[in-house]
Amino acid sequence: MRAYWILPNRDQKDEIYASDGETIRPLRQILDPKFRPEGFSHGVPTELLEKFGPKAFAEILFAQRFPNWSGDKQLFSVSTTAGLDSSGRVVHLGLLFILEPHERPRFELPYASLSEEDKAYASALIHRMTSSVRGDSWTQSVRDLIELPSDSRPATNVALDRSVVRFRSLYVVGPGGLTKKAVNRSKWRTTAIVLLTLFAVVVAWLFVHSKNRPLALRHGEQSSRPTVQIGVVTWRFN
Amino acid sequence: MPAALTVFRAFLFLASSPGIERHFVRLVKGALDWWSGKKIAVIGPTASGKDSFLARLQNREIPEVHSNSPMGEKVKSFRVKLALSNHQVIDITCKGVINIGGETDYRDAPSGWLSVCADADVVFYVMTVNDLSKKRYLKGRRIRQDLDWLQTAMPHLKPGALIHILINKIDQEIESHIDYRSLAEELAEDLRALNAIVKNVLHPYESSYTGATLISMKNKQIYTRAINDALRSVYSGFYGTVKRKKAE
Repeated sequence: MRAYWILPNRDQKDEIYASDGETIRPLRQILDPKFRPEGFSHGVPTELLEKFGPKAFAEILFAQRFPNWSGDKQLFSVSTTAGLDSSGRVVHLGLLFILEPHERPRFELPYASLSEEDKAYASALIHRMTSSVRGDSWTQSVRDLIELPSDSRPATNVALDRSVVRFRSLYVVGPGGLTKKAVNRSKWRTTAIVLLTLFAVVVAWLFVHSKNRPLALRHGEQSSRPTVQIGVVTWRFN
Repeated sequence: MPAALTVFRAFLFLASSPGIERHFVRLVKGALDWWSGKKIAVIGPTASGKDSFLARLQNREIPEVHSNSPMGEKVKSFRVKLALSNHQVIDITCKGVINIGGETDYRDAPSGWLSVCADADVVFYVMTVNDLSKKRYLKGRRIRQDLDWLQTAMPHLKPGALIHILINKIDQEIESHIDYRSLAEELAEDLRALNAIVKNVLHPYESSYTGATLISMKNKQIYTRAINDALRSVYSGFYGTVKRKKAE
């Protein structure tokens, strides 16, 4: 596992910078822009900020997972807002993981070398991801994304409406905040599969039964009703 | 039944006329072009005012929730209807607009600026008046690097796509739109140098460049004045392209 901080662009520099916990260098030296997966986000998407409003900025966590990103390696990132830049725009702090197949991110990257302002946000992010705070649906959504069974599709913890890429997502933003979508959807999927199986069994039974019934009659089944025999098939009239 | 027969005969007659196919194709194409709207792309360095420009085009105030754009996000289709000062009317539906960040990371990513500009009819490149006065359009500097990128992107853009430069944040230099002309005169030398470099760098696609306009997204009066100039240049660019195509 390799892990890096994606640092907030507070000074509106031309490049995005990253840190391995010790040294700071341009993110492009770690993750070449040419190889960044389509839809990769360097922070919390604007649509989430707009939906939740400034009061909830600190709560929002946005996570992405790109399985089979480079060969069998996967890319995982978690972002949070990290204050404002020099012209008052919201900036972001992220944790980027380059993982081997079936490896899980470990939230233990040091942040002592970051600026004082960034340190506070880094510490808060690590704390949220490593402690069990009840009722923190954002953290739970990131954990659920980590536990999501492996799939070749890219996934996010929360559904996005304005992304240029379609992501598999576990949670959805509703009037009550963040709600789990995947459970309901999988329930519906299970119900649909059960109903379809039942339907298939009934159809199969009817098919076999309608074939066997005349044969049974042909082999001398007793019936109180009058029968008419045409060839080898017997039809019963009511 | 006789009516249907008459219509069918009329259709056969028209279809057999010389040149009717060409007219029909042009009619259908014109209708499709009309309905499909225009796509614009807005690119430029970080904090140059791309989000604010999109807000202004949609006749919205600059949003309170303003973020350093961390990923490409789709912008809902919107209509730009503006009466220009010379009785021209801009009436376009901007479709498929994507808002993207300004750091070079976004420029160089395959799903970055190129995917944003690929189908655009007009590419607005937003820079700041500070970039102009600090000559960041000279070799090795950020604006020049972006222009170099634009030149390599040109073959992959829509044929006939136009490039227009918006030089934002002039409200930091002047208090009101009344001072616009004097600022333009003051910056005339820099503007000439920028224009020469853009044409030189974009060669052989320099005819796509419709010029640079001083603007302020923040100051509504300056914006109203400047957008009139910018869209007139773009409109003339389109008209020129149509005329050139006809001449060919």
